Amino acid sequence: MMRIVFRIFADSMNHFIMKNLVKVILFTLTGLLLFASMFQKATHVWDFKKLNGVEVPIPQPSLTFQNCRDGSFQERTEGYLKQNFGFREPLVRLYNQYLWDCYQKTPVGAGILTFGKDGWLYEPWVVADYYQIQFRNYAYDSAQMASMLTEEAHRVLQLQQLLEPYGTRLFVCQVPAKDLICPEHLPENQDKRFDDEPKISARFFNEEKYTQLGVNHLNLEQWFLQMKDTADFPLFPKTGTHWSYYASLFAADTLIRYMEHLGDINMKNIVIGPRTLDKAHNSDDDLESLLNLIRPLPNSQYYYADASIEEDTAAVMPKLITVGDSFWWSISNQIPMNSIFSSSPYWYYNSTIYFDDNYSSVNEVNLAEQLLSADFIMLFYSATQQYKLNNDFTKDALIALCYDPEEIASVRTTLEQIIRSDSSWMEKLKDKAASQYKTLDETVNNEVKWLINNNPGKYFPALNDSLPTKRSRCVDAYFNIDSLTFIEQEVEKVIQQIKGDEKQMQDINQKALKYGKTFEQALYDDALWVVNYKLEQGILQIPSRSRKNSCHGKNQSKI
Amino acid sequence: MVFSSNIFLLYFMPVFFLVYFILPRKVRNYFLLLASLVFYAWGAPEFIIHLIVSVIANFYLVRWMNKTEKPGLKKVLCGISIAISIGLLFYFKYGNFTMQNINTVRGWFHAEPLQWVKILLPIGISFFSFQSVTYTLDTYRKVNEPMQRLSDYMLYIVMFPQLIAGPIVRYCDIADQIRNRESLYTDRLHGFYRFVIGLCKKILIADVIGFQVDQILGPSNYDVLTSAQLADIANKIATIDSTSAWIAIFAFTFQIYFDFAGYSDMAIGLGRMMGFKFPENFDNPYVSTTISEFWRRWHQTFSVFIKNYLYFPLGGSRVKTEARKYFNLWFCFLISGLWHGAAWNFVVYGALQGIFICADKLFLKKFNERLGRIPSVFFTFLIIVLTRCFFRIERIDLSWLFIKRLFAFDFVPFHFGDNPHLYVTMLVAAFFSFFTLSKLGLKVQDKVYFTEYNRRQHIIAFVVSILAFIFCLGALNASGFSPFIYFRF
Repeated sequence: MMRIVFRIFADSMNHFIMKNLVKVILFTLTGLLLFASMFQKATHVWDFKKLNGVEVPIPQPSLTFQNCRDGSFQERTEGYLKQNFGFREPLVRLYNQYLWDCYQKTPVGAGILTFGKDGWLYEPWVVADYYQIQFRNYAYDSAQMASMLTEEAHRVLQLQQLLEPYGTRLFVCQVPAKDLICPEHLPENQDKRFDDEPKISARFFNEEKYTQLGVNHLNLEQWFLQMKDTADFPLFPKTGTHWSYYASLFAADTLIRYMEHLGDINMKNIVIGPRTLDKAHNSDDDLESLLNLIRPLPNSQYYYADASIEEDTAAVMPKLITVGDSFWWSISNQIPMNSIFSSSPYWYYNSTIYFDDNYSSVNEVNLAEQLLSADFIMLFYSATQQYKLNNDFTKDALIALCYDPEEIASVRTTLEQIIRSDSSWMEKLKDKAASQYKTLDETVNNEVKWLINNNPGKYFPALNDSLPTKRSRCVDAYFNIDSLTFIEQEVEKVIQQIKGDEKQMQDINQKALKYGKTFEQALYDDALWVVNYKLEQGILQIPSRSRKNSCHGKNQSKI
Repeated sequence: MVFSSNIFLLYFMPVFFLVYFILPRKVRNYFLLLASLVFYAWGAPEFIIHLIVSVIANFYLVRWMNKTEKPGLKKVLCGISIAISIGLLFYFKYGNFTMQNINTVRGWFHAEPLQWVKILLPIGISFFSFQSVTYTLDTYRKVNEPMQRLSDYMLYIVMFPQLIAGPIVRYCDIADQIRNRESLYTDRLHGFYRFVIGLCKKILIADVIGFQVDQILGPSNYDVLTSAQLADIANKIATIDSTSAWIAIFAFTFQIYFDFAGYSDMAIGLGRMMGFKFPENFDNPYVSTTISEFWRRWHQTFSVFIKNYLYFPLGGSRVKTEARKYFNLWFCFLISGLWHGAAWNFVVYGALQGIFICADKLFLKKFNERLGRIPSVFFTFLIIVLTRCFFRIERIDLSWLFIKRLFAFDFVPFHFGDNPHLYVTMLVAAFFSFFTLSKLGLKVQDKVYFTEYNRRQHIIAFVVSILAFIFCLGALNASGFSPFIYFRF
């Protein structure tokens, strides 16, 4: 009996297996494949080449009743998984390669690359800037943009003049952008929306304003344009957005010479070694790397050279603070900065600090102290970034130099209280915080900062003066002297001298009329210029420039 | 949760099916119910309670209705049950629309606008409300006995494959399957193949075209836009050249079909993996020779619902006058237009469809017959394309402006190289929309969708499905990956 039952069972199993075996195997394989991603995420068994480029990381959310109820947990989880699921890298590269091979395009929705002629790649905002419509991302119309740029240029001048007596030279370096240097490969302007409107370009506007106002500036873009036809190396790479790695060495050399001239000092020189041809790397193919393809593009070759620093014991090693965009990476990665500068922190977009042993964010520093400790402050932005008005650096700096930390804190606290007491405002900020994956406190802080930077003169009236006379106690504490009093006294002396000279008084009157200033203002500006000039020339010296004591009692080293 | 998301494809679906097939048959429905509630709660946690409460209330009302012998009470209970389903739909879907219109009218008389808190639309409400109505009415009409278990009824309403976007499964079609169904390996594999076909339609065709349509016409949901953004869209439409306008509206016509049909394929596929046989929702609608035929092929489960639960109760075609018959037809389409969205453009869309249906009955059908099959297919398709303007553009004035731009005849030269991805995808969409015009196409479709495969065919289908699934995952994730070279502030 048992044998019969077993036989029937075996037969039916055999029949089932014969009929379904393939299906069972296929279904099991389907299941296994569906679990493969989870397995890879948990174990990272296979090691894939990471995707190039940076994106805002979405943190893994923790589950609470509230965030589950309002859906933010779900939203964040989906965002987190999108960035972290198993096999992400090869899957993204697979689809990108398909798009590239079939359509020569980037992933749908990327908006980070524009294809020019002959296989040249550009960033879309660089193309927009060439057609002078980039400003529409920052202002309602060209008049508003012009007004914003003018105000910023005045702030740069204020800061330059304010720092000058303390021995800190501020200057602007206008960095070349690919559109102006290589316009022949640009695509046609596809965005016709603003064809009938007046346009504005920050690069040309700023150049004119800086010249007109007397802002220290070095226009490397114009220099690149001049040498475009004569240089025997590419100034910009075909598939990169920054200046070519090799060209940036020459830009660095020019910068050093400019600083020597500005500070009337002797600095160490850069020695550019023999060049070699090599396949594009570093920033020379940074746009291509964003394509995240499986197969690399057939690329041109570019020059590369080693840079060293000439030994010069008589040379000084100043401290340089660079506030700027990503073009500085090509220079700072190639040149041994610590052989030229005593210190050269890089305040990337006035936010993260690189090459500084003590600080990693501008939020951490005592701004007044840092500015005064530098010999050079360089505002280093390419054309497309100039609409961002130095990322509020000038506003922050002016406030820090003119107001005591307690005064600044008081304004911030008042604004924060206003925001927090307004429920509808707070609701909007809550939404903003959720959408940007930030904490509410962080978002409120940013809102306060935005309010201040949107109208700094409203909250810090001293900034409305053409040259603020108010000083933060940090400044005096830093120098351990009442330097402001010294300057003010000197200015007062010059004013008295001018008042005693009828011809000079007539000149001042004419200047006042020409620049639309009041007579008193023109007189003060002129006197201040004279004092600054004397300080520059060494005719006058601020006594006891010890630069040792900060308002927090921190010791600062200085050459 | 939507099917075309990482969370569903890489987590929910594998875990669900693993557990589902491991569990003994008798508890599978409970697990399916639990998973469906999680599925719904993931996307609309605020509304899960509304859903559960309304489902429980309906279940007991219908049970009471079935038990009672009093015809009057039966009617009342049936009415209450329908009122709950339709009331919730009306409140959530049409509350904002109604208040906006009331305030517009008040504005004409210089009255102060009424204040109200904007209501959020729970996902899937248009579908599960209708399913709930079919349950009540099918039970009332004695087509089926009511469910004995609350969990079964709840499962019928909230089953995740068809919860969000249909197909609208009539109670009488699925009642038996809820308790008695078998999931053979053939069904599981065919279900998976069908799911992948739907996923490809959605991700590789509809989403690609949709992105480009949004670039040309701006986003489709105007509720979330600021007045400046709306002004920008109006400006875009006012200045669009005829070439771009035709490309946009043809593209949208394909987008909406592949989006919706793709989602239905996925739902049917998932259902089949579990042993359910959901009704088909699309039958090559763009090869229709008349508008009436189009509506028999497009969103079939919805058309069946409207026919059974609205058109017939209104009297259908068995009415005294011809005028009433045409009114019934037109009214059904007006309502179906409004079902698609709470805005006047959808009302106009529905009214236009109703007019074309009536015209079909009066003369258009005969005209199309004289044209011959292929010309009438393209003539009908053209009507569908034109009426889609009112579907895509949520403001009637802008829809009308857009139609004017279509016929402004300011064509600019067409360059395939401008956007090859869009044009190739549109060609693929057009091919699959019309390929059943040929006998070969019909044969292929029948083979792929409705025929059992032999071993070799299974192996081929499996390999193709897995590759397509992987490719879709790539597309889904690559499209949203927009890294910068360096971090920006």
